[in-house]
Amino acid sequence: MQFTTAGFWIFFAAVFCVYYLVRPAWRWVVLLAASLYFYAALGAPQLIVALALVTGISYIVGRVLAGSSAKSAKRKVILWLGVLLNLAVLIIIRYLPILIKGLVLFPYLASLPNLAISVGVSFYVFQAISYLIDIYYEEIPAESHFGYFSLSISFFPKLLQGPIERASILLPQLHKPKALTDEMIRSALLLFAWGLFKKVVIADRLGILVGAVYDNLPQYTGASLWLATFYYALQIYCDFSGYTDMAIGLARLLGINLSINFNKPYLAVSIADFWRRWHISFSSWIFDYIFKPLQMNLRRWKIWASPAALLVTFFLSGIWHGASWGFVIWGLLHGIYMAAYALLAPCEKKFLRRFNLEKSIVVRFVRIVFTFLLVCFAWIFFRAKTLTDGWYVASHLFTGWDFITRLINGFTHHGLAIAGTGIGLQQILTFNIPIPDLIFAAIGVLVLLAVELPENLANSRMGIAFQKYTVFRWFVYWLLAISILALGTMVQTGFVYFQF
Amino acid sequence: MSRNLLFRWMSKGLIFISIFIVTTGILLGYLSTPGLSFYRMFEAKDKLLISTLGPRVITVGGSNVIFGQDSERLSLLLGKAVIDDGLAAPFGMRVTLNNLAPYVHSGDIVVISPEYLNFFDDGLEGDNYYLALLLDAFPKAVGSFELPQYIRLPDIYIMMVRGKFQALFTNSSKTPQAEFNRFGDQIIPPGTVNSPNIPSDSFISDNQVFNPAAVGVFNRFARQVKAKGAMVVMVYPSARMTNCWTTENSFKQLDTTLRNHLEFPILDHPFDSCFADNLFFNTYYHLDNDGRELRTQQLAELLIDQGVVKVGLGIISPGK
Repeated sequence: MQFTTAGFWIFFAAVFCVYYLVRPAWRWVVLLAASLYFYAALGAPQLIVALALVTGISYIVGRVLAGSSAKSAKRKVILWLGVLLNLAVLIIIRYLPILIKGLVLFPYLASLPNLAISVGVSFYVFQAISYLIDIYYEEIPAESHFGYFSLSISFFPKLLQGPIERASILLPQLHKPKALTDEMIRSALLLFAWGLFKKVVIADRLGILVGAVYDNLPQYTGASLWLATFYYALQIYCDFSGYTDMAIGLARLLGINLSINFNKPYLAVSIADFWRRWHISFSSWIFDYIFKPLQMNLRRWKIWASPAALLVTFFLSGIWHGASWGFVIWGLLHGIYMAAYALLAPCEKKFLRRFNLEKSIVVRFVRIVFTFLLVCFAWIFFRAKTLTDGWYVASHLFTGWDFITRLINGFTHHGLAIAGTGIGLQQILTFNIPIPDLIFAAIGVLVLLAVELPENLANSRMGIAFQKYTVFRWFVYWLLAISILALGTMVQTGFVYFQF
Repeated sequence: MSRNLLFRWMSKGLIFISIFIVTTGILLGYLSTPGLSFYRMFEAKDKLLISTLGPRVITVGGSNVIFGQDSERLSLLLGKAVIDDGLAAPFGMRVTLNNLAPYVHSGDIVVISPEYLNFFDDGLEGDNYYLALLLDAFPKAVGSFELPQYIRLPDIYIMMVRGKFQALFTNSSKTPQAEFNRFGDQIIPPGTVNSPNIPSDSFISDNQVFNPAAVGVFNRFARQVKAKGAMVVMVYPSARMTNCWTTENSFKQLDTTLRNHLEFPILDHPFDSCFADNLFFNTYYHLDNDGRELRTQQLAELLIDQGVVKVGLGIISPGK
């Protein structure tokens, strides 16, 4: 049951009605039951076991931590026990299929459906770990109500792909959700529809273009590889941020505010800025719970402490994404970018200040483009099926550009009608994808830019008209709905981040 | 949230949905899409099942069947009427078998040749996109659906409407009958050249999980038609040799599992249905015309040698 399916919409409508029809004191029961059903509907029994284990372990360890004296030596041991047990659940679930299939340990279990699915586990394991660490440092009290605690871990809008919510933000809201207003409902529905548009119309359509190249790599070089990688950058953004928009919209309808997870990441002016804008809940998690403690421990390395801590942090982040060399390379690349930035940023700052370029639009533009190219280069290894494929793309980015010479010669000697060049160009730039697919993708991307690029859309002329005129508002809703219906792809694909 | 607010928004929602459905309907009606008529073969094959006198040999499965036999020749070799009830693999065998069951009569021989995907994950239940194409072309097919399809019905209908919209921009109209002969075999257009770029993919990927429900559906079908006095056998689908080798281990495991659990005979082994690479024309389970003749001969010999068909009984050609 995915957010993009009609089955889920019917499920959510039912949950919404029941949630607001029961007495407020019992609403957590409705949400918990709905969350468990939602997770069970994936048809993977091991996930329910994992959820129960993480919830049980974290609740008990949290209570024990809260009950122990701040000066007790055992406290650290208890914390580590809780963290390691949670990590053990994550590792077992991730590697369960390999253990069972590869070692043929449990023939019966091998016949379980959806054994390879580990969706959501890494997200709620991270949430549970941060809960324990926050209790350890006495930043939050341990939750005494098992029901509310279970709900904070399993709350279905954020269960599968985050945001990774901190207990200090989520638990108080679950105890006392906000009273719903017209404005909240309106914004929530709009956000949900916008997220759906990004996923179904843009991400899935771009996915066809990306797949055409990345699944048939030997046929492509240079320009095609660049284009496909740019498309992938947009695809993964629309896919993941689309999911987050939908999750935030759904939670808002239930009176819960989830954290924003994306803030125009491809407008970042540096790689550090990118990580403040991309998957914010995850990046802030790894910075708070991996980078900072590491940096503290390595502080005797002086200037090298931060770069080393960044390298390790992003290496671990790559492993978190999956047991594949592609993810490890992706993580290491970002680690190298970040480490280099940590070392070079002061020089860059001095340089810009000296030549009074800090507010230069040109410099800002160049920095955005440079950061985007770095991020795209790392995406190559994230998207490629194997390390060999990733290497193929990386090593062929600057080959096959002679088509430009051929094209110019074609224009010079034969005019536009030169058939061979035309066909070659079509293959290079459109990957032989049908023209309607390209048009739909282009429409989607243009709408994305129009909606997400302006700094303050709500105060624009359109935004004011949207708030002022009911007919216009309803027309926008209708347009959004018809676009989702008409322009979506004919193949329902899962979310990219479902694998993590 | 007050109940007033809840009901107000529910009313708004209902009004919006009504407006949306009406306007979409008008838009679609006005634009009059060409439809995706290729899948009317479902209806055409139902008519064939009704009009062909028995006892018959009915071959059923996905596209491996419609490209995998010359039914006219098979009919001559077996001395029985042959109906090619091959449809499209992504309909899923649950829908395909449910559709076939009412048309099977006493004395019929049903030869199931299911694509491998039916035994793994949700392959048995069909793909939303193809089920949408099916319902668009033949709405009565909903009668062959069961719970796994019903719960996806809203998504299937959304996909159907989306398909109609997008058909406005693509040349998706096809004539159904011209592509099939009178026995139900799909005709490969003359002059078609075999593709040199057929991938060497495995039929069963490592992360696919065997679905025990598939065995249940096949056995239920077998019991239904046996109760009518018909016979059910299975043969493995035709497959390209290179891809067979890629799938070798999974084939062995699947074959063992099926032989342990299916309640009707399997006449061959997966590798018996593997053919030379040059006999496939556009994908690794669509035989070309030469491959089709070879497969037909092999199928006839298999059915005769194993005593499923006694040669010389029955009629030769199907009804019109």
